[in-house]
Amino acid sequence: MIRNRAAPAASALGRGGLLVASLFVVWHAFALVVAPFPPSYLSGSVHAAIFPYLSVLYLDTDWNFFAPTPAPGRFVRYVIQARDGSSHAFRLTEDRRPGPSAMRLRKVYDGIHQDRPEHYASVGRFLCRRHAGLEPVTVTFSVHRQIPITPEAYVAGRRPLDADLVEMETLPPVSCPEPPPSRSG
Amino acid sequence: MTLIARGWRSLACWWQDAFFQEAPTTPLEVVRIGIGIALLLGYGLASTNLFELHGMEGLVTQESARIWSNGRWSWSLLFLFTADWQVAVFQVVFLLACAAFTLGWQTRWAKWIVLVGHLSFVYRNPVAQYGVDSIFASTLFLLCLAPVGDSLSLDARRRPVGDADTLGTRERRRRAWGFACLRLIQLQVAVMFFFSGVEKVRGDAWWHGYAVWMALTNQEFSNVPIGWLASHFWIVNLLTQGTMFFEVAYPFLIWGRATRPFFLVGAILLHLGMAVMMGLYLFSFVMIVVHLSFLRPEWLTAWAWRRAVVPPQQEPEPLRPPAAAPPRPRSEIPSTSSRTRS
Repeated sequence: MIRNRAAPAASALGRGGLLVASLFVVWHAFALVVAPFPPSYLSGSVHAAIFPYLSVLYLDTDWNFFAPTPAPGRFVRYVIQARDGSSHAFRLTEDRRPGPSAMRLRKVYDGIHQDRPEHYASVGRFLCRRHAGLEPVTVTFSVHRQIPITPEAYVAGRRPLDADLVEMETLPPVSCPEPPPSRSG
Repeated sequence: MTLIARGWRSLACWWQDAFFQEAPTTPLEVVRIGIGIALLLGYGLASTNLFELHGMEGLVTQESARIWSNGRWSWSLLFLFTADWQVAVFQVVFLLACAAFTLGWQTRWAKWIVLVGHLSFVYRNPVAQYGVDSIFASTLFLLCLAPVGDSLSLDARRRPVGDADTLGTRERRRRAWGFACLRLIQLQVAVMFFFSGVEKVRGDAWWHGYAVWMALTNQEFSNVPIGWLASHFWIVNLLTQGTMFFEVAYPFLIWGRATRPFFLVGAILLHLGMAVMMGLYLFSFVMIVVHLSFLRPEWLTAWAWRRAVVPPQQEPEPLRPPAAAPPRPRSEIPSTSSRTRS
């Protein structure tokens, strides 16, 4: 096939246009490459310079999908302590059917962590409102982490969510807001 | 001195060929449509959880979102709202803009609304974001800068693009700039795969071939029975190490004329596999869409609608090393008749 090479773009963009366009291309390409660079003194200095640009456009991503090691499974449950003394256990992540929001909700629940008290308090207060009918006093989260299962164990009949293959951590309870006076009266 | 001048001109020629070809940007339109569909599906079907994720009394309060952003310049129109009905109106406007963006109707306005809308959702609830949102953001930004909507769009139906001989200066400028944006999207995909691949090489689970097993035994991603993989673990090794080496090789070999088809098909199969085995449907779809930025316009000409959208005489050149030939003088460019745009 005879190829008809495109004419030099300078003819269309003009020298000034080509210069400006080239500067943007170089800048953006540089930002794309530097953004996911591993931390170092050099990359830290450069990253600081381009951070506002990356940050405002949500380009500050490290692109490390399932790397360097896929994280083990993690799921969250919670217990509502009701005003009458009863407690009610719920699953937060496991019972969710796959859907377009499932991944986003999973990320929110994955954020429930001992080091993120403001986040799990926010989720806790949401659950207080959701279960208002139970007159909740506290919400207590428990985070369950899977221990990797070997293929030999799987063939032998063990399964990833067997009790001895999951370790649990309980977070401090989140207090629910007092119900409005009109309801308590 | 002459040598330096010739070298400079060769470099300039290569630079223009690499980033500013006046070639059809049909792959850019394919990416626009694909990203538009993904946004419509992702946000539209998630409307049932709108208030849970973005409402005033949702899972993540505005204060919590700001703390989570941790120094990022976090901005969102949703921070200005004080009632859930405002969030609902915002969602409706955003989805309409996504539909217009996909169909290519008033594309020059719709694309900016889509970008601002997406970033507003992202920063309102940064906890709920994952890889697909980063791909949306980076691709949408370049699509906003690019002159999308020139083909495969309702806008193009109203003002059809002429053939190569009748292209005016404005159209040629749009093509050159559009091609630069397409190249940046391609570069983005290559960078994405490079760092994803290199990060995998760092991990023992990938290097020793059991990372896919770890991912599939994670209850969050387990989407298919895995007993057969446990019995035939060599398949896990093959999938794991094959993925790792493919991702490392992709950013280098996707540019080659001979290797591009194989790597493009390989990338699509990789993501189809992830969709089926891990249930990552939206992510896989979006990844396949951005890989389609590497489609060559001449491949698209084989499709039924080729005559309407791709002038057959103008095909992009592949990236290649600096050529010895100097750039073509401006006087050699055939004059083109200007075309009025409605």
